[in-house]
Amino acid sequence: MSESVGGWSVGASAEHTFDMTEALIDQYAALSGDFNPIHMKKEAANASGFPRRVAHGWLSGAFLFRIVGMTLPGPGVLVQSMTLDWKQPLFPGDRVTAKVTVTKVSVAAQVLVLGLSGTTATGALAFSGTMTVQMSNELAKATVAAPAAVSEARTAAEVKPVVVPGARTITGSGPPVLVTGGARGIGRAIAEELARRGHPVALGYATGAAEAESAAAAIRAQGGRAVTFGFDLASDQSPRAALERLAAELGPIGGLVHAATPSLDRAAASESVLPSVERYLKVYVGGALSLLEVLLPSMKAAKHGRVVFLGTSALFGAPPPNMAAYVTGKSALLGLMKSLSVELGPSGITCNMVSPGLTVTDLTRDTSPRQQLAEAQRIPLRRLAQVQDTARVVASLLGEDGAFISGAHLPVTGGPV
Amino acid sequence: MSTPAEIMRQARTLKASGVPTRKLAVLSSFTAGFLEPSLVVESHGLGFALSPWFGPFNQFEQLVLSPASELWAQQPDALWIAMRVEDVDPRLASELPALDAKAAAERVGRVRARLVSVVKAAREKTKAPILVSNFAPPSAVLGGLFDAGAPGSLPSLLLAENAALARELDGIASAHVFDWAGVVAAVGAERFTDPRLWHLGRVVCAAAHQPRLARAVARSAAAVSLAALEGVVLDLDNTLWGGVLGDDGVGGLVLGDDHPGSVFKQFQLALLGLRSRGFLLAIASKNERATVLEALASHPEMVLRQEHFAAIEASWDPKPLALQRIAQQLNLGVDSLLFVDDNPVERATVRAALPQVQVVELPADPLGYLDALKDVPGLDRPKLLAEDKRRAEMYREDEAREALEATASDVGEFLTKLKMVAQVGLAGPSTLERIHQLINKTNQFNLTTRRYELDEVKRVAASPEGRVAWLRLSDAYGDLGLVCVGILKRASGTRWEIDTLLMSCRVMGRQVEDAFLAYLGGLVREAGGTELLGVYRPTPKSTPVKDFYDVRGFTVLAQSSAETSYLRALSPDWPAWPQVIERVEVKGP
Amino acid sequence: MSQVNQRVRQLLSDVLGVPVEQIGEKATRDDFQNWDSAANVQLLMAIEGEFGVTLSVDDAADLLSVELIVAILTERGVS
Repeated sequence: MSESVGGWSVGASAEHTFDMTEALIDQYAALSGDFNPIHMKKEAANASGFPRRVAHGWLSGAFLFRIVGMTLPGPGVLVQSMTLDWKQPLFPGDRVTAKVTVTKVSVAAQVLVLGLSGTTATGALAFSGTMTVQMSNELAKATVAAPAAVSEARTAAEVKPVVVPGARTITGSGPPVLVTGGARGIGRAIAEELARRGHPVALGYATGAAEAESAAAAIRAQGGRAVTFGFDLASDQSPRAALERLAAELGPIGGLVHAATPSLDRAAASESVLPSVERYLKVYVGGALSLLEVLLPSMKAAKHGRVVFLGTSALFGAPPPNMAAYVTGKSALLGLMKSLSVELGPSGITCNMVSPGLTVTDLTRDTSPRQQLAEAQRIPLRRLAQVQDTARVVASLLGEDGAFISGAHLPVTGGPV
Repeated sequence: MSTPAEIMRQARTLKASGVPTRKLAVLSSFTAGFLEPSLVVESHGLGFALSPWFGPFNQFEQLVLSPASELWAQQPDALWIAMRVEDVDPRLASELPALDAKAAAERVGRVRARLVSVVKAAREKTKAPILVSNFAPPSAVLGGLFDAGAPGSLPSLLLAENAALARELDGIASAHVFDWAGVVAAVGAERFTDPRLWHLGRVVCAAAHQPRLARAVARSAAAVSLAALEGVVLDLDNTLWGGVLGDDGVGGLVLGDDHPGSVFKQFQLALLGLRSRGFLLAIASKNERATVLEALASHPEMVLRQEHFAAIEASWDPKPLALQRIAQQLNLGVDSLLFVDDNPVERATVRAALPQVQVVELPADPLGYLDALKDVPGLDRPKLLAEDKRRAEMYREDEAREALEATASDVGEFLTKLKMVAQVGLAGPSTLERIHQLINKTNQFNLTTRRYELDEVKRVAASPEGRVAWLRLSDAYGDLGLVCVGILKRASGTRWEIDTLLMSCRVMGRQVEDAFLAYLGGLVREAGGTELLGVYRPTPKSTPVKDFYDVRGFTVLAQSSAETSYLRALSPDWPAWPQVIERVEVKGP
Repeated sequence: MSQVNQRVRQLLSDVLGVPVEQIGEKATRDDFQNWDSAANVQLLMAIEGEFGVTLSVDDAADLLSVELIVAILTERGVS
């Protein structure tokens, strides 16, 4: 079998036939701003020795890109370079067939060299050239069934839009997600990112209803769907009633992001730290368990659920001193995550932990500027984590990208620390 | 004192200044690069600018043994090898107390053996002088309070090792002890190393003491590379004593055991120390000579008496004139004199008139005199030979000879009454060092002024085609030491060339050179030679011997501006040994 | 720009042998190839000599950027 890239081997070709019209020329002029009289006015074209308005050169070239972008090789293609010679002008009324042929394949570089040509109905060559393209594996996952003629059969997959990083409009849709600690810091950023990706979100908080409400309002202002969820995980009450009201409002909760944390408590493990440890365990582990107790039945019923716990980079390597209660709490949460991922996997529920490094948030307020600067210099990527860094990873785990990740403990630390 | 950053800045400026420098290659068991700025600044300050190169630390053998190593690519002008026991045997101090005396001594001796083998290997690759750090005692050993008094303890063993190291280096040409232990002791072992810098970057010396360490290294490098000074010319009033002799009288001089007289007394003691190291002391004072002699003779607290001075110029003449007279009297070049005077005007006058003379910048406070002299390059002699230690005494004996010469009716009577005895012989272990010293410092009575390394001299001495001969003179007034050196080489057939012929100018005019020439002639004859080829290579200082061969019946063979060569056949009666000198031929080493 | 920042940049210039104009207010060790661990020891000595402070070994490990050095000095009461 001959070598191929993206399923294409030498000799494969695709073509597209179109009619050159005055309307096309007008549209191209409007698009590009090229109103040169030779294109726009018959008289001017005549004066230059042409019978009719002359079509823009790139207008015909544009149909080559249609083939390359949609058919051969199609999605996943990255155009690197091209040359094009125009052999004769095209005029309204011409029927042109643009053709792309694979002339060379480089498997190692995932590169295709394509021959380009355009012929009129009379068989005259209007343009010819070459193009070098590279196939990106990630982008190649999505393929498009194109209506144009394809010389070699390919399996057509379902159509999916490529997610464009950085886009800030609400895209797609997803199940409702409860984000504990969602009123501020990393939790709030996660809620915002989830909303942007089409998840209705509930912003959990224990204190500071106003702050939570303003965060939810901000999401709504962006076109997202957000409500607040006031409940103190440190209390001994069951969240059942509150969660049932939430489900009634948003629909069945399909995801839980557990980002809530007690205020930071600095103490050495050797001091009387037990009450502090208990406080952390209550919020981290107790909170997760009491929420899941209510949420799991509907997730199991739907055979779909996503659970993400927020961890800490202190779980990798040596933790900083005087953070015993915090580190113990997060370690317990890590253990819970691993067990849950094993037990809930059969029910279609994933469970993961995402552990950011020192992040620029409210919590870092009690870290001195010197400590923050020093920490940044120790990180290979030379900066502290931003809330968005973690939010995007968590949101991915909640979406299709996270479909087959479970039991993972993901560092968001800018490199090994 | 400059801050570290200022030193770094100064060093950069100096390096860009284009001042010619000598390359000092440093091999060390610690990161020595930290010393670079200080070494540059301090060495420039001494007028002996160094550009240091640092080998990667702990790579002694690798760098020294391979001729293609980075070290030899540097073509160093001097080497400094700094191997610390605690770096190359880090467990030594901790394990030593458990060892018996023999094992302990062996263990410590291993480091010295390694160090010496590195020095020897380096010696084979370069003629550059080599400074070798000795061992500093360890600081703060747990439980080591009584170690200094315990025979097998590390401090005791290191003292012995330092002595052994000194002995071994003495046998290696141009290898010298660098007194690392002395620097550590002067600073204090506990303060010498800053533990933070040590743990962070293997920097052994705290920032505050780096200039001092660097200055010691630069001074040592200068001392082993340059000719030492010969004479120290001293002012009297407010220099050797407080007060003005002419105004205050002998009784009014400030000199004694109590302050402020004690400061001057201490200064005189230090100068006496220089005299014991072979420096000639001289006086250049604007005073009446008789008053000066009276003060030297009669002041009860005077340390330096008339007998300690090789020359006394007390007059109202300008000081540059006095210095020139002293140089002439002592047979020294003015460039080998150091001038010490508290009066800035006198110093400036001397500097202007005689720029070759080294002038010490004395501070206004006499307490600072000693410090001012401490860093004068040229006062540190790497090796003190017997001739050095006796030099000042020998000049005193000269005075007696001069007295004899003044009373003798003619030269013949004078020479007879001197009762000169000349020992002659071939170079051996007991004479090589002195021969090497004379070859490299004799300027006036030197026919060819060829300088040789010790190894070179040894090679010629051992060759059947060469002879290295010497003459030692004594007379009724004392021992004048080894004063003549001759190197003979077979030129072709039966013709032998006098490659080197030199004599200490202190014995000029006593027919010693004729005695020595006669000895050389005899050596050639014994070797089957029939004629002597003599060469005179003029230098600005060697004019006293420009006619040496002409007046001894040699005929000119060839002449150029660089050299004149002469030839003379060895007739049976020539050259003849002068009658006024008794001849003793010494065989063996 | 603070005076401390200016003095720190001058020290870096002395240690690294780079004109002070080339050392930005936010320069870090990544900007200069010779800002290595050996330079950091020189820098420690230079800083102590310039500001008359004594830094700890931990401080020495943090001499990684102009801002960080200024922050350390601020903690030591230098302003």
